[in-house]
Amino acid sequence: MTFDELQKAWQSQQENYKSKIDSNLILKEVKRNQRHFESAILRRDIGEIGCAVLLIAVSLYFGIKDRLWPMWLLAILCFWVGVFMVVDRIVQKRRQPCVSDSLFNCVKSSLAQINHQIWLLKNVLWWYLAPLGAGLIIWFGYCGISVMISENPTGGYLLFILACIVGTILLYWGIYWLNQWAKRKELDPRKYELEELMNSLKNTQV
Amino acid sequence: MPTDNREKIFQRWLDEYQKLIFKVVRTYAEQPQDKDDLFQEILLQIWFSIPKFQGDAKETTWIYRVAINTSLTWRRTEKRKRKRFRTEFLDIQEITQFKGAGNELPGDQCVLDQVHEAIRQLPKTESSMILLYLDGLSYDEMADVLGISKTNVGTRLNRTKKKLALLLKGLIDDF
Repeated sequence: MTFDELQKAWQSQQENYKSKIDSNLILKEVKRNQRHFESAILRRDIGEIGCAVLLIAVSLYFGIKDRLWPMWLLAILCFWVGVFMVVDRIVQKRRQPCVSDSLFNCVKSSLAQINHQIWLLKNVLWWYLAPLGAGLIIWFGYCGISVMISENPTGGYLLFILACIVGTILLYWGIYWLNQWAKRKELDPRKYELEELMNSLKNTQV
Repeated sequence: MPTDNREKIFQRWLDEYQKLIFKVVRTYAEQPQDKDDLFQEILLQIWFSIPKFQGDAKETTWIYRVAINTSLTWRRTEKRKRKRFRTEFLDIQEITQFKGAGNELPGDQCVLDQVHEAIRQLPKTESSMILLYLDGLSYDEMADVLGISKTNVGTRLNRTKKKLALLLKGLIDDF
């Protein structure tokens, strides 16, 4: 068989599929799927932003009510994390890979997106964990010092604050570890896959 | 774009190009469950792409771009995260009896199965290239889908055909 004959046989295989597709039903399902996808994105955004807003509101409330500077600090740090997440989401949304673009451009933008996600997870300590963790630990430390300098320092209360500090450090270490695990397990292999694809396309560019 | 227009385009594309899409799916997915998932993902991406379609590119080129890009960037792990269509809507079956262009070619189905298997063994970009070649796209159209120059399509295609002929030793006599 020559390639020309193979080409003919290949093209005639279109007749070889019998499809039982109802395009109206498919359309309904595509629209349902789109709604499901959009509502999932909306729920995620509301959840993340809602948490940040709630934390800022609570910190501000106690900061104003009891004139506690560590609460003001915590509110500022929460605000920074929230703004960072929102700005990053908006910027990345504009850089979304376009599947109707050529393969070369689609792979290029997918690679850029995956590299950015890797950067976010690699640096999660600096833009997320450290600001929030530092804010909480400063707050617990402030409470501890207040108890110690008070007239009747209670050992139990101090122990509770110490447990809170240790708990926060352990929790944040766990979150950091989980993020790095996700990077290694999900994103790195994906990056290598896309790089390989990109290189194979680049090698064709004489 | 008005919703009615978008729906009309989607339905027309689905009617006209579903077999083209399924051929791409068959090239990149082997298991029935994967084929089904990839087919659904491509349909969804086509739906999302319609508002961007300005008519600058040919419809077939557009569909190939969406189908190939989706197939190459599609991941098995992702597919489970998204709620899927009900499978009865997507019951695509392959007829076992092969019908050629006017004449019966016994054994060609078996040959095509071997060709699909061999294409799946090629690197992803090369499998896209051979898929477009076998579907009869011109060098210009292939360059447009892949985003590489026409000259490079020619050079690369020749190399890929040699690789495919090696994988299909005994079937192809061109090389």
